[in-house]
Amino acid sequence: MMASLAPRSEKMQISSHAPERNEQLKQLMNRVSVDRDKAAFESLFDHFAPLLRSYSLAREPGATLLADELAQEVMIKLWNKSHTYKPEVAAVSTWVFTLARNCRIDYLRRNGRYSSEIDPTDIFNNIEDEGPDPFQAAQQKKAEETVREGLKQLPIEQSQVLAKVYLEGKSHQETADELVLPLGTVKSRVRLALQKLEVMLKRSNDG
Amino acid sequence: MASYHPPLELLTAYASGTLPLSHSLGIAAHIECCPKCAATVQRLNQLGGSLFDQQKPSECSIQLKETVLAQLDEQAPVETSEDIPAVDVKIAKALRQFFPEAKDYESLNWNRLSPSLKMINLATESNGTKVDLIRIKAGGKVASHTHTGNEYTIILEGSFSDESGVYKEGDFIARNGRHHHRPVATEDRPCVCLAITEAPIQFTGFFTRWLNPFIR
Repeated sequence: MMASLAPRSEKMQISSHAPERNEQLKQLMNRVSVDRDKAAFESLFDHFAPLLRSYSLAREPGATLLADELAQEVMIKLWNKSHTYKPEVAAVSTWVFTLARNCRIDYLRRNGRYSSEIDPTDIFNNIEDEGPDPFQAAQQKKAEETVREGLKQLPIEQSQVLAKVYLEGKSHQETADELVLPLGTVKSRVRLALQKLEVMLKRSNDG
Repeated sequence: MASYHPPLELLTAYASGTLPLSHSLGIAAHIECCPKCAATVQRLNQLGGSLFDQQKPSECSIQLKETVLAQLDEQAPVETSEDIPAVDVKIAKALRQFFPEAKDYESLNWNRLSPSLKMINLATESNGTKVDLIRIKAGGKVASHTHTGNEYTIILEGSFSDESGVYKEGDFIARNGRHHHRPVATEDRPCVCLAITEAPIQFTGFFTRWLNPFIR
């Protein structure tokens, strides 16, 4: 196969401009899933592995070994499951985020934090792989843009709460404890942020 | 289509991976038949993706990269055929892990609790939260009860009513500890529900952080 012989010099320079980067990442994913292209995988590794390490370190500061493990596990999953990625449903970053999140859940389960009787694969994968209907798929890019741009406009106290929940893996209560805020304040900050980012679909979008 | 939905904070916790698996099972069963909440979760995932993307990268060692690249060839060839499409299986996807052979709820190995009530325990979290499958026979009444912890009920098949309303397939019903109710299944068919019941314990110590988000 030509693809496996591709020299490393073919590595793509990933753009710092988000919409352009999203398209590049999608192309790379396509090369990985269709051609099993290792140079494309390497470009994805260079982009995602450092982010995966940050994601792990956000929850377990200082645990660099764990961060390496998570990065390794998710990148191998990306290679093995690339055919299940649907570009019309989600940006590559969103898909990689869900892989990383599932990996974290699995880790917490192995360590007794979550019930070991419930297999998380069936809870997250089966459903998400189906994706939204065509109408929602058409809106997907627009929604992604709204979220990305909206995040930049959020007041710091709202984005801080979102980062605690999503990246550090804190519950609303843990977030409240850490920031020394009433639980209700944390809940309302999350809610306000989600409203601004138009995460909640309006009734009129029900179709 | 479902008319009762999980509160947004449960969906957020689900998408961010901070919700206990017992509760996530209930969210998964609900979004299977609720396109609206499925779309909300999709957006919550997008939000996760954007936050993930905007992190400050933590540099990666050359060794890690070499290790991963070296493993690629050892990976089994990609299975292109997805799992067998189970078109005639009437069990919620999220629950099939407990009954890999079964095709419908009726054929399961139910435990009879009373003439109108049958149950199967699916899981118990270490903090005491129980996940049960409950079957109320057509027209059957469940003895009046009060929950000491929070309870979430997702209707998988059929419908039931209680003092507060009528609930149909897909509905996600949240009840707090003080709620007193007496569910009655509708006459036309049995009602099958997934029930997630938090333990009637003091929320102290290690588990507090998981349980407290659900206390209003």
